Amino acid sequence: MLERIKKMPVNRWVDIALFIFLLIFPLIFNDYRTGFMGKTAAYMIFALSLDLLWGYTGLMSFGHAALFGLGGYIVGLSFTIQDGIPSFMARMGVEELPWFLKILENNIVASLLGLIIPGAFAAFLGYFIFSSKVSGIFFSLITMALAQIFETFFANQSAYTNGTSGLGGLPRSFFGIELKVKPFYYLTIGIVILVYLLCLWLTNSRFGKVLMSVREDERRLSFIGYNPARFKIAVYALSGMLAGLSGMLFVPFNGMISPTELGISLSTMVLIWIAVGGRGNLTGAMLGTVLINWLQTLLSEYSADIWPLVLGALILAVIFLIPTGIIGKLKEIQYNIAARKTLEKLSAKEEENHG
Amino acid sequence: MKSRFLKKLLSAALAVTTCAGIVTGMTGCEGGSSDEIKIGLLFSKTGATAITEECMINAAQMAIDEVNDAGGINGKKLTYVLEDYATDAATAAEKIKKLIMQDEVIATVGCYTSASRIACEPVVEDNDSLLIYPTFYEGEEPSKNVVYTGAVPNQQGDIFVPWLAENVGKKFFLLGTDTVYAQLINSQCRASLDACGGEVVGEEYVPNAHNDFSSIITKIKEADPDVLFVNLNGDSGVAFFKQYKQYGLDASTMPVASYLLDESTVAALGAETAAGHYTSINYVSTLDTDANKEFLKKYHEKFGDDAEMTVVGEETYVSVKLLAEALKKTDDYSAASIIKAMDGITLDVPEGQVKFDPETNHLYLRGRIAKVSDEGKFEVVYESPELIKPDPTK
Repeated sequence: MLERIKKMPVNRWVDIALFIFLLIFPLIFNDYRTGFMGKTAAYMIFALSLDLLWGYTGLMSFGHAALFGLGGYIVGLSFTIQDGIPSFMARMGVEELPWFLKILENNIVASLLGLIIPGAFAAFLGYFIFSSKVSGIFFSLITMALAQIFETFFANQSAYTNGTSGLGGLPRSFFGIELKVKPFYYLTIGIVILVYLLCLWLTNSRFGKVLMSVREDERRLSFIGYNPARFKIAVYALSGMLAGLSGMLFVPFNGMISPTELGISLSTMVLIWIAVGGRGNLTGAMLGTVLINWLQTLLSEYSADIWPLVLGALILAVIFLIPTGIIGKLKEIQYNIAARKTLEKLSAKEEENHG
Repeated sequence: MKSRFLKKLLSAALAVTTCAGIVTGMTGCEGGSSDEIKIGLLFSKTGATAITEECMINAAQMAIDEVNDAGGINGKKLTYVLEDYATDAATAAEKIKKLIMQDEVIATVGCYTSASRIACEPVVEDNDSLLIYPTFYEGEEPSKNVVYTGAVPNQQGDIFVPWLAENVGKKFFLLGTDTVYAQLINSQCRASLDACGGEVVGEEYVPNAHNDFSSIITKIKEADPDVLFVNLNGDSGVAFFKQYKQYGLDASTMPVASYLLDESTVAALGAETAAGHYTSINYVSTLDTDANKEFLKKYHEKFGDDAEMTVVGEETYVSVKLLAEALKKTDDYSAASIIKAMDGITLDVPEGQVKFDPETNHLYLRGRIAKVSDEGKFEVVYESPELIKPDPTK
């Protein structure tokens, strides 16, 4: 057992430290900061969902926020129509809720749909993309267009989405449970840990190994007899569901949702979080998200102009110095130390033998 | 060797920044002391509307300095915390939360986009704080925690449409971005045209960020209106004005009338493209009064000759002055008492006199119609004789 703990990869230690930090966070900071960290925790799930897709399977989605925002909008609309027709709809001449809003009246049904619809949408899109063997940069381009289309679509359906202003005044509620900031924060952290465990189990399973071989060499995989398209569709659908879930947790903390939450800028930000933290090991995605969001909020309070410069410098520094991200670098260091020790042991043994 | 050193240096710098950031976060900010009153300013210093909002930040700082130079609020100093919402509604909601809960400001002056205001409203309502919104906008059912110092459609449109019908022509073509705002002002325009015997010869809506107007300009040419009543958001508006000129339409025979034509749009278009078009607003920087000249002189001394002043800048200045006057009249800084203290306040500001309306939390404003001159300056061609009562739900 002790031997197993000793051999645990360095990023699992970081995971544990990160979760402890998140769990004691509300004890140190006030409600405002806790709410902020809750929002970041929702983003962590979002980053994990993309890490499955990009880090493990090598599919770089440039429009993942579309699925995040879809989940967010579904619960957001559900909250908005709780007291009949909201004023912005009435202003646009909507007198009766159309069928697609009627089904959202029940919070729990809406929450389920917030999981299912982004997942189903991703599966649907993935079916067309992957069964026609579209891959690489073209997948990125299609998903980027997707985010742009979603953003424009939601901005222009102002009768139902309130246009660019978005939906505001949304309650802190999840699956019909309404809570204060701190309890809701712990609920969210609990869900983050569950999602993390799910991802951990999944990536260590046979399914996860196949995903990684899709990333490494798809052709060889199909030689062995696997159908890569099926695995890609499955992971995209799962990733879509998790993105929807994160959107559903983000909205209660944020209190509002607008078309920017399903556009290209958030899609790009999440790629940066993962790139900085390190992709393909789950930890990097979570660490990068917390680190960048926390830095952003503190630095922009200190001086608004400084933040974009720091972010730019950080991205450049990561690309040039540690292309595998912070966790990638840490793992490399751990590997080197272990390798050196083994070598020393071996050479010591050799000397013994000779002596 | 050298590059390895550089790498180490960079990594060290990165680590230091991170730690410094975390430490500043831990210590946080302290609440204001008893001899000062702290307010929040919430504007975009980065993002798409940062250029427009620069003069709002300047004007707010200038007004705060003036209040302090004149003895502050009953001897207490007015201080502020400035936050950047980066033209993003979600960030606006986040930052106003920070101002209220972390910095404990008693009120916030800020927001330019309607989206940011709508995002902030639930936050100020939940925390019973006060937001003073200094931008002309589409109107809404007033929140009990918000004071609105900008013009609402009736304060722009009530004089605009009848004046245009009488002095320019009676045939109107309506064009707007497909939003609640444009549809609302177009329906108001229709109503007032009916009342003064004008007619609508065409009505078109385009999606957000639409920038190809060739087919619409063909429709406009066929309809041959006297006035183009155009309310397009942001870049869409700029694209329209450029194509208007490109397709050979002429401001002397078919001018554009828009609520959304301000100094910054004119600057973006250039004098040649913008000349001859009309707007209706309560303030333009070329206003020929002593109060305005004095205001601009001070403003340019402080922020340089190139610093622009627009209606939203002036309204921000008015907002701070209104807040300061109200704070002098009350010791209780809850939103309700501050708003109650605003009742009966009239202010002499660069645009003339304005009066607080306790029924709607808006201001009585003077309506002005301005035409862009060949030099790209606004010339006031009409002024309403009375202050116009705000009607934000019309």
